[in-house]
Amino acid sequence: MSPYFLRHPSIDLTRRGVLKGLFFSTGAVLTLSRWPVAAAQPAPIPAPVLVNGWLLRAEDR
Amino acid sequence: MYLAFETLATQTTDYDICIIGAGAAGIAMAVTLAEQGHRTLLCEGGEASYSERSQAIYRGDVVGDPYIPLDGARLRYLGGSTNHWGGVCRPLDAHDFTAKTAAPDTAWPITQEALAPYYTHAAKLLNLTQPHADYPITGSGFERIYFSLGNPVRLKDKYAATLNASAHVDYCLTANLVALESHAGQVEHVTLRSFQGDECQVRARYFVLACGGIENSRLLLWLNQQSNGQLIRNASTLGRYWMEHPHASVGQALLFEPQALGLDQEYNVFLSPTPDMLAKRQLLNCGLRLHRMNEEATQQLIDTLSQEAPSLGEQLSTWQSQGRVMHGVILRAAWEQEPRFENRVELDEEVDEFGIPRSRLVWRQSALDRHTIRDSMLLLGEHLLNQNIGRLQLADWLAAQPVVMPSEGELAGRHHMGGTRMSHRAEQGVVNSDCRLFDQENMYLAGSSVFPSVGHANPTLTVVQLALRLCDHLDRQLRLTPRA
Repeated sequence: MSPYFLRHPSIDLTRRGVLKGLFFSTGAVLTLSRWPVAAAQPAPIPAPVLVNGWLLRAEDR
Repeated sequence: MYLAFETLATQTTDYDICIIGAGAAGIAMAVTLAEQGHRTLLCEGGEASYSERSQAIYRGDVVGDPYIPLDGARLRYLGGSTNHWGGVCRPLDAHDFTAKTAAPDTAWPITQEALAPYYTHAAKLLNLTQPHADYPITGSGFERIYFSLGNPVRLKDKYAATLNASAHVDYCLTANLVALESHAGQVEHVTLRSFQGDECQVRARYFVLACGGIENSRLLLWLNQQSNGQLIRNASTLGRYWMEHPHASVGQALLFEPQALGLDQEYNVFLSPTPDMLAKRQLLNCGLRLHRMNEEATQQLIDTLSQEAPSLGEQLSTWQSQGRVMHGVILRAAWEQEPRFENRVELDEEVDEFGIPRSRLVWRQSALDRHTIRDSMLLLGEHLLNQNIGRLQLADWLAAQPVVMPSEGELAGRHHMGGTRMSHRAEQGVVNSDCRLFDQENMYLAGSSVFPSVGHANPTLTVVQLALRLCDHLDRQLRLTPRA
């Protein structure tokens, strides 16, 4: 398996955790429309690419 | 006090303890046993200073991966390799004593707690500074780790006056171990020979072989051969599981936010994967050293990275125009080598001037050794990438697959370890958890040859901790059975 697997930051995906996150978020009203799953998704981290030994994001290029 | 070889040859002193080898372990033990009031003889094979003749005893052959010549990696005179070491010290980690997921043979028969009580005394002997405590870098899989750096004590100089003035310790130069007489599991005497060809026998209640991470194996292989296998009846692991700390330049990195790793304040930062990360990624232990580049080298690195990654290059230019300070870092590493039966010290056909076969070192790095360094670097690169705090470039030899270790450069730390490993059972090692030969009631080993595994930390501190622990053990033994 490639070592370049996606790693997500830890996030509390329980209903209580998501509600708590929304309560403290200034963007709560906007994100409510995507409740509950979309709001809980972390931003995907793009897979790294190895170019001449450099570990880069695809968009770096 | 100093004892000339001729004097030693004519006297009939029965010592409590005879230590063969006056390097870090031997001198630490002699000084400590003298404080405990035990009559001790410390035997050094070489002179008080460097001589070609003594150093030539260390010549040997190397088979396998490129390695440093055996007579170039250590010193054979009073003080041993503490006469040229760099003074870099750090205790082994708690998890270094355990069976690692990637290599179960890394387990020691003792835990970190067994050595911890000897840290303060060892630090005093070695003139160590108190390093900062390690701490994890949140979300990275790495810990920021610290070493005691830059104060390499020369034990010969530090303790010359103590040894000369001691009423309890005699020390003798050019006293080379050439034979040993054992009967019914008791070593009765050792035979020493000078460079002039004089010989003498020394009797003691306890003997300690402290000749270093290659010589302990070589001498025991020879002595066991001479005893027809009676010194070490199960010698299946004798000379085996020999290890080094591979060292290499492993790459470079540009840090957009140097403060995230502490490199805004310091020129050198050390990182090591956490125990959880070692288990998760199937790694052995590893220490990465990040050394900050100067402004000119950093700008060259920014230019190189911008050529490879133009879009990122535009961002870097913007940040620079806004006054952001970025730092380039050079990455060097020292990492743990897997304990493998195949890596060994064995006896060569050629003999030294005392007629003892020279060492032949058979040493190769394994797939796990190579995986450890490559994946540790990828792990750091991923952290920089995921947090968008930098970008990392692997050294050419690490970027290629399969990884081929460099054939020149540092190669290794000149840390000779294993060969007479400590174990619960004679089938799996040469000494027990007290560092005593399984088949001899009164013969012990001191030094890094007893390490069953090696972590990534420089070994001298652990060598001295073990030596002090052995002093306490011998002190208890001698008090239990006082001299008649």
